[in-house]
Amino acid sequence: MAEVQPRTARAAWPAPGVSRPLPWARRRAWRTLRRGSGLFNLAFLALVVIGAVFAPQITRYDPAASEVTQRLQPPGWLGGASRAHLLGTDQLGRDVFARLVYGSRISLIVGLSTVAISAVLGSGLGVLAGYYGGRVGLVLMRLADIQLAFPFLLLALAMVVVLGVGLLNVILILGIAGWVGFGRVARGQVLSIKEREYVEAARAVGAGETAIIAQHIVPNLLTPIIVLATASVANNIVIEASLTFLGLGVQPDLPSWGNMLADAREYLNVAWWMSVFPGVALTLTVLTVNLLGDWLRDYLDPTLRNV
Amino acid sequence: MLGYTLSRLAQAVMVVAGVLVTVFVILHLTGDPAAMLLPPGASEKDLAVVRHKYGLDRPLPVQLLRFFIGDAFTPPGREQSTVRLTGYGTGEIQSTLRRVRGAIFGDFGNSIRFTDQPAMPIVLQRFPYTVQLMVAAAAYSTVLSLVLGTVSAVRPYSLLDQGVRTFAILNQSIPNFWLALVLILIFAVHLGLLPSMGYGSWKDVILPAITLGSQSLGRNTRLVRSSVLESLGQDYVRTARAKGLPERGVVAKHVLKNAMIPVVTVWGLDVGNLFGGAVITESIFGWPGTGRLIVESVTFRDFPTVASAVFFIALVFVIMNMLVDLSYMWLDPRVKLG
Repeated sequence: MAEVQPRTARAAWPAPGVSRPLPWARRRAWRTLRRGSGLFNLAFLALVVIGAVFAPQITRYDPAASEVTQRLQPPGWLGGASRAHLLGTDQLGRDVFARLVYGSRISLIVGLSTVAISAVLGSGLGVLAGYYGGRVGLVLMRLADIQLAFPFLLLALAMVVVLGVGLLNVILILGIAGWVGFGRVARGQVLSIKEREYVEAARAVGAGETAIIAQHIVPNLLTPIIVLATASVANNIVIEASLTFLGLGVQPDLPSWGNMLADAREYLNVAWWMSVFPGVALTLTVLTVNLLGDWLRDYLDPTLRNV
Repeated sequence: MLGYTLSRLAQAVMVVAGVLVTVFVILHLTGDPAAMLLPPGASEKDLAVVRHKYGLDRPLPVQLLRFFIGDAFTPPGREQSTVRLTGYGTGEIQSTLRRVRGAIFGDFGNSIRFTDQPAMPIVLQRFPYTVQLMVAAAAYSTVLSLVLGTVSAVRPYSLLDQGVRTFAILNQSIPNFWLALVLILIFAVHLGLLPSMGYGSWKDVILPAITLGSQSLGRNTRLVRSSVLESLGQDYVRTARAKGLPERGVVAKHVLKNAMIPVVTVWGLDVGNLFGGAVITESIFGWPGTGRLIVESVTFRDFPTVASAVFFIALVFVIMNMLVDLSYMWLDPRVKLG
């Protein structure tokens, strides 16, 4: 007698709702990417990532090294006294381009790690609240309500008072505080999925709780979570930069875009390049991540359109 | 309907209680609350004195109760009391403390930065300035988003529409604090048209309002655009056109009214975003509101003031959201209550 291979069994009944992207869908994705500003977005984001990864290879300057004789030099291509500094220098004679490139590291690290923390934490708690419901679910959702009573930036500020300034603290604060969005989305999704026929069918054939959650619930959660995660990356990058700008984010000696802009504020009327370039980098990064999020949402789940 | 109102009210009260517990927890996470009341480097003996006076050596539930309705911030049983502390090299340091009634009445003790002043009145004094700024920003973003969203939707995919959509997503993506710097750079430094900071004349409010309103302007413009586009395809619009109403009248009378609904819906959300944005905007433009007070207090580690401000803003936010929820009932009877 032939053994029933688990793989074949699964192939015969693919979990509904987890259809693989069909060739036509892939073509559609490519088409929308090409038509809109999609390719530009991807190219810019790739540039930011490459900049973050290969920062030491891209610029020969140390982002922290100050050269007092080279203070506040305008960008090289504007015929500044020193052509060596592509985007000029800041008030301590540090190379703006080098700080810009290294600064992308902070933004990316914060954006990605915080969202990873919130997504895992939030989805886990959301699944717990949605699948098992009961008192745990109620308590979790009340906690979410309470947390939502604080504007996010204010909550982050209050927690900075507790933990103090620093990159790790900012990541922890934004990561943990961000669970609410993911928790609510995951819970809502689980509540509707667990009543579907295929979950009932799985239960009827004797699938355990873990199997149901892993095979039926989690795959269906991925789409809304990915869409929310993309938006959160953009959001958290801005919040970190804002906190740092106020002097309440990452350490002031780190080359981050928020710190560069904080320095630039004092030299607005003498050194416009100090404020313009990091701001443009920050805005473009946020803009492209936002647009990528819009595109992902339209592509992954057309029912979520609007807004 | 009365039942829903009451249950919504009860929910709001519960959330506020939760907010207070959160503040209590944060207060205890800051380390030793007694250390906050003394100058840095206070001796262990003085800490113990203060801890005992404030009941910080009692079990946590008792402390929580005293925090809520008691005198957690004052030595028990005295209207006015003076704590005498020695050992700072300068002789005696006295700190006079008022009799307070607990956090439920919004009392989080005295400010550390403005010594001997209760923290909450300081927050309340600054709040009207924040409201002024928020109203200006909301007016700017609402009016402009209605105009832009509508003209953009009436001619979809035209050059104008493309321009408006770019403007909208730019407004959404540009961080508040950088927009502030750019506006100052252009309008104050280069053109010299508007002041870069301060509070006084009507000119002072323009740049902060544009900064603070930018996020909601971007989102609302996209919202109005898609909602006008949607109503343009509705039957009642076709009917209005069929009866010979000029296009302008159709848009003004039938489309715009319906397009307003989603904008009103996000107003509640906007309040929270505006509070968050006010923190940054006020700090940059030197606006004397609550937001700037919070940043200054955080830098000063003036926790009673931070707690008062955060609690007060959360309270306003909860009440606003409750009112928005309740107003749906009146605005749109189809809304399912629950």
